[in-house]
Amino acid sequence: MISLETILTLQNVFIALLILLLPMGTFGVLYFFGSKLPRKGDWLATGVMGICLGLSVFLLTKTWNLPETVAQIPWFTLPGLQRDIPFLISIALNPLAAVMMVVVTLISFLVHLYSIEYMYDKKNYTRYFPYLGLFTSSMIGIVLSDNLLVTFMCWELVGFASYLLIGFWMEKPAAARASKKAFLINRIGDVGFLVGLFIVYAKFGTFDLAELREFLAYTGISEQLIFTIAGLGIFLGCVGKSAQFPLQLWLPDAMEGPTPASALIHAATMVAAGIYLLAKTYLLLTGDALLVIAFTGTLTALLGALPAIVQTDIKKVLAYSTISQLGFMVMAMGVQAYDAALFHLITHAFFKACLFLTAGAVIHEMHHVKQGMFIRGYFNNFDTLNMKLMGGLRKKMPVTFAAYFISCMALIGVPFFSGFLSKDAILEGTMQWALHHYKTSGQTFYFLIPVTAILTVSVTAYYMIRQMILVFFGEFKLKTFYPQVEPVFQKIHDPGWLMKIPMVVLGTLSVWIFFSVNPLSGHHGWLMEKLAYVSPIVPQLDALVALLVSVLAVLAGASLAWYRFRPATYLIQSDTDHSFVKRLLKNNWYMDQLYQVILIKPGMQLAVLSAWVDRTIIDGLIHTIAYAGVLFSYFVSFIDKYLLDGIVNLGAWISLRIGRFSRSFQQGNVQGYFAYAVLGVVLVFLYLLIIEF
Amino acid sequence: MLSLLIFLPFISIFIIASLPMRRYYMHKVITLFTTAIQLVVSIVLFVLYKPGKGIQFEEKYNWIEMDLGKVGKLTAQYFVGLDGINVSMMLLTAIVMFVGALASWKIVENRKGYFSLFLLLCATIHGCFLALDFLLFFIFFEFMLLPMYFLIGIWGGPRREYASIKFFLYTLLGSIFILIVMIGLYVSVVDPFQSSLSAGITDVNIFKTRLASGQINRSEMVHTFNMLLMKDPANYIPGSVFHTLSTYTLWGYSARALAFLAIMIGFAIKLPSVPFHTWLPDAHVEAPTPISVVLAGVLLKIGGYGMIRIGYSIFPEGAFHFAFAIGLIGVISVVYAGLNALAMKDLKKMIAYSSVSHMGFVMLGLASVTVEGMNGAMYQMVSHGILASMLFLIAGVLYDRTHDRMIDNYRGLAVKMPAYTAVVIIAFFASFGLPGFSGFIAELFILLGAFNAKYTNGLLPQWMAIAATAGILLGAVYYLWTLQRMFFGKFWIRSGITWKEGLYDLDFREKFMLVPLAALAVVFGLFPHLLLNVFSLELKEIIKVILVK
Amino acid sequence: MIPLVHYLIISAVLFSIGIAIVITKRNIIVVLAGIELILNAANINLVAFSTQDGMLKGQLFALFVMIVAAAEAAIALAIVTQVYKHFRTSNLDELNKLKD
Repeated sequence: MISLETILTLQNVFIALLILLLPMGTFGVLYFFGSKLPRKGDWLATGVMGICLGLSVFLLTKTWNLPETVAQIPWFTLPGLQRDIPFLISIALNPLAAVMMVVVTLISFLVHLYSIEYMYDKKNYTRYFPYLGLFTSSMIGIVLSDNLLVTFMCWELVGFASYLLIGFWMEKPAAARASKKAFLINRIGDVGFLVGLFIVYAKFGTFDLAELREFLAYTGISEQLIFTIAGLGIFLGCVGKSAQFPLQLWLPDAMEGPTPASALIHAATMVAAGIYLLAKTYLLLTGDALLVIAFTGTLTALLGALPAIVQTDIKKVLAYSTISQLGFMVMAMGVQAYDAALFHLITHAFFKACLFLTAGAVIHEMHHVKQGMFIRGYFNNFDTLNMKLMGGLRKKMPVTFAAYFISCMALIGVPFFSGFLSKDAILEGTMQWALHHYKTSGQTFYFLIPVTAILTVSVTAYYMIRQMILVFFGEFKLKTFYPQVEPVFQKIHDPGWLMKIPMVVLGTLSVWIFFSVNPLSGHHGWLMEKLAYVSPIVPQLDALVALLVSVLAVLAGASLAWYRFRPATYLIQSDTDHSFVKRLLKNNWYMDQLYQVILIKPGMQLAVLSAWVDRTIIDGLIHTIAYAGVLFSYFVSFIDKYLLDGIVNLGAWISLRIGRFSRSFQQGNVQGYFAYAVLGVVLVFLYLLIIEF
Repeated sequence: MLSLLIFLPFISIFIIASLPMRRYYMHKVITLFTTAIQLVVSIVLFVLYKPGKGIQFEEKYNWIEMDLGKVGKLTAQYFVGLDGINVSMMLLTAIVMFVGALASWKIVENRKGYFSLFLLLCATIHGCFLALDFLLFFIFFEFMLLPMYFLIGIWGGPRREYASIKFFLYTLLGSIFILIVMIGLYVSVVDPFQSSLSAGITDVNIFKTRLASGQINRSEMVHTFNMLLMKDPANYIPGSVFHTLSTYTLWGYSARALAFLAIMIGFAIKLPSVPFHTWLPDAHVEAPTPISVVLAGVLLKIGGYGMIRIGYSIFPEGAFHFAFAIGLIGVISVVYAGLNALAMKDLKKMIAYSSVSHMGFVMLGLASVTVEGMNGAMYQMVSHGILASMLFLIAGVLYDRTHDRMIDNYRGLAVKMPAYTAVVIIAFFASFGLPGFSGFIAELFILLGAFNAKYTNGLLPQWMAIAATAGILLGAVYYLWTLQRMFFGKFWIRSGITWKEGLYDLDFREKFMLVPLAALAVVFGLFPHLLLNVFSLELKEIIKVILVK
Repeated sequence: MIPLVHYLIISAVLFSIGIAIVITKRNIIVVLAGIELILNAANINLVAFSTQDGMLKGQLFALFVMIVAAAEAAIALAIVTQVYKHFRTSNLDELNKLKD
């Protein structure tokens, strides 16, 4: 007898699977038949994503108040020695997953819409939408799956899809390089993830998170080194995918992909996967592992934010800010502010997607400027991404500016915007954590984390205000170089509605009200309350302190940037001073070069060396043996020829001699023969005589 | 049914041989048709095979019977049958041979000879996998070299003589080791059923107890090559070389341990594993595409298959004692060949080294003697059979068009050959273990097994699994680097126009070969039980026997 | 009674003369005559010895020898004529074809 509740659960699971498989289906259909469909099937992909969004929202309303349901779908079993080992495709439906699915499908849907306008005249349009479908589908797989193995599979597929999307303009060598780099660096992380999986499997005999939760329900994870290694291994996966130090260097390069795809990668899908994985495996992380995670996150937040100060590429600034914000999330995970980390993940998804889409709109217009100049006969191959050539776009693109402004404020963490709520929660979490540990252990180095976090908040405010001023305020700086650009500049306008709607929606969702009624604290908002997690850390501090510090930090950074960049005197010339620090930041701490020196070069040398060993030593040995064999056989044939054959030939030679000798008696003369015969007889007689006497 | 698989090609060879040279089209069609029939038969057998029910579809005829007087009687049987271990190999062989026949479509010189030899190869490989009698197995194993030698030596590239001789001698060296062990086993093992008949004992069990206590006359013993009987220690003559309590030792090793080593070395050459692998890159580079496909797709698997069928089944205690060494060689193969692949400038050579690297996983999985590792090893053999076929076909496609395989001579092929690039991306990603493809399941299981061995039977240290994981990383590095260098970026090829006109995208025949292989890789990647069900029970029994020792 | 030794001496001398003729003479006819001498020397011996045992076996053999000698002479002369026809010579030094 199936109860009503089961049916409802089944229905939910079915919907979840539908959301998972629909984009995968569009991937299949569009990949193979896309070129035959009208408009290359973009409407199909967008429509399906819209349906998914609807289903996700429906699922959210259905599951919000239900306890977590886990559906275990048997995949295959392996007959083990004691028992059969089942491998399951488990799906966990809980509020977090439901929210994440809404976030993923919403952003994906908006990116689809945006791309229809943004990408339409671009090359390879046919393949763009299937890739997006694959990407979204694999991300939903990560969100839904409740089994580490299945998570890993989807995780890899996300990597694959990102490879395709980052390298979308594969004719550009830089894009091809970037996609390879992204995948390989992710792969390093995956090795860690795999090792984590091995340990989990070896220790618990299962990949299923539901079973693991059962095992660990009462005792929690024990503080053994092996589990710390497992936790760190899984974290290494997150380091790769969520671009943490020291594997963060793929992310700025990933900007080679189409801008809407960047929005998807940086907001909802790829980089979020790492944080989400940490949330999933949170119960497996030991205290030591968490400590490492916290410090890695902090370091990443700072190291990611600083290079953003000097970047001139509009997308690169956003890329570095993504690294930095991901660092915040990881830091929050490390300091056991689980809810804050996930909250920030969701708010960040919206405002970062919005920032990318607005940046895309700006780039789109800059591209039009370039084309316009070309039509007017001034061919100039300037960089459409360079912020130092932009400026004053505020009045020309008001909707874009509004969306940008809101999401920028959210990113900086200004009160009344969504980012403030989550960032404040994280800052508070770090402070509480540091105080807690200081009280228990007396060590002061725990304070490094909150201090660095606050510093990073200031830096974030600084570079975002800088970007806003450079792009939207002041004069259109291209004019200072080419006064002829004026008529073209006048034509700059907001993009069409297909691009506007996503920006507006995402911008709107960056306002505080959607997450919490209280604009100054997200703790009692609907989302954080649901995500709340019983932290072992006892609050030591009034939340107000964190709030004040946060606001002050933002103010400091923002006002510095305003003071520095506001004057109209700030022009492109100031870019020429090449101090060491500036170069260091500009090149992302020279990490590429560092990797080149410590990893790639030795690796290649090792490869060449092993090829040399193969050709020279192993093959050489074989050849030596072969030559030795040939030599030996020559020796044997020598013996054969001169010794063995010699004996035979000697016999032949002797008989030949004898023959020659006896032949000399044959003259053919009858009398001669007769004489010999007589001689013979005489000799015989003589012999007989001699014997006789 | 099984004999049909083995002897059908012989009939076709006869038909081809009797057709005149100029009817070369018929030669191709007959070959293709033969392999197609074999494919159908194999699929039917695969579906009809019931896992865990012992030997099925067996055919057993007495072949050689000789009364040797005082020493006993010699019997060899024509004994073929399917059990879990060879059923997947049979299917793989049929698939790869069919693809190989299709890939041979553009062979120009001496088609009659080529297709006759190809069919001969087809028959011997099937025979090798299906034989359950050691002598029969060995004969097929050796006989396989003949067509292979000529196929490489006549239809190969510029250094074909060198490559074919190297291949031939190397493999022959391996079979000497196997031959020695075979003779030793033959001397040691009796067939209890036939022997009890000849000794006039009705009950086999009584015979066995009498045999153990030495009450059976030597002249009444019927020696056998049956590999299934070799598994049972009760069938060994007390005091014989390979009896479990045998006291023969050499350099401090017991005869059985040495026999296991000899078998492992013999098949490691075939597999191939470092340091016996250098024949493979040469053979692959020189062999024509279809022969590369067959070589990588099936021939290498005979190495792994032989290890399981003979090494692990007949000498289980050796598997226990030498686990560390085997695992070490496996890991070294994985990493070392991976590094080599990274340094290769020739596409086909790179793929050849990647084959060595992937077959290293098989050894690692076997060494672990865990359920996961052994199943993974079997899975890897099937999976690599499919993927390596794809990879060599891919290299062949390019070689057909330009007669050049140097990676650095191409840029941005994706522009000219989009469908080809798509297939290459799929094959490359599948090959380094992207989830959703068969390679992932296989390598995951092997690594799991290798890691888990420490906790279940303590045979392998954990660092081996982790080092092999680095091999997966290396795989990603060389494949992606190749993709970036050859397929992406602006279109450019060395020495210009003459090639450009030849660079057309995949034609129908090539798609027909590549797409089903890709589909198979996906099917086996998503539904592992299709294969696992077939062999996992059988492997479990082997593991149990090993771990008891 | 003439002692046996005298017969034997006669026969030995005759035999030696025959041998000498056969070896030294160039003409084939003369050689044939020499052969006759040898045979007759043998005959003398046979007859001489047959007187000693009284069984006449020696004389019987002597008769045989004479018949054989006659036949031999006939055949040999026939061969000689043929040889002469063929080679146009009866000189034995020139007839050295047996070497081949």
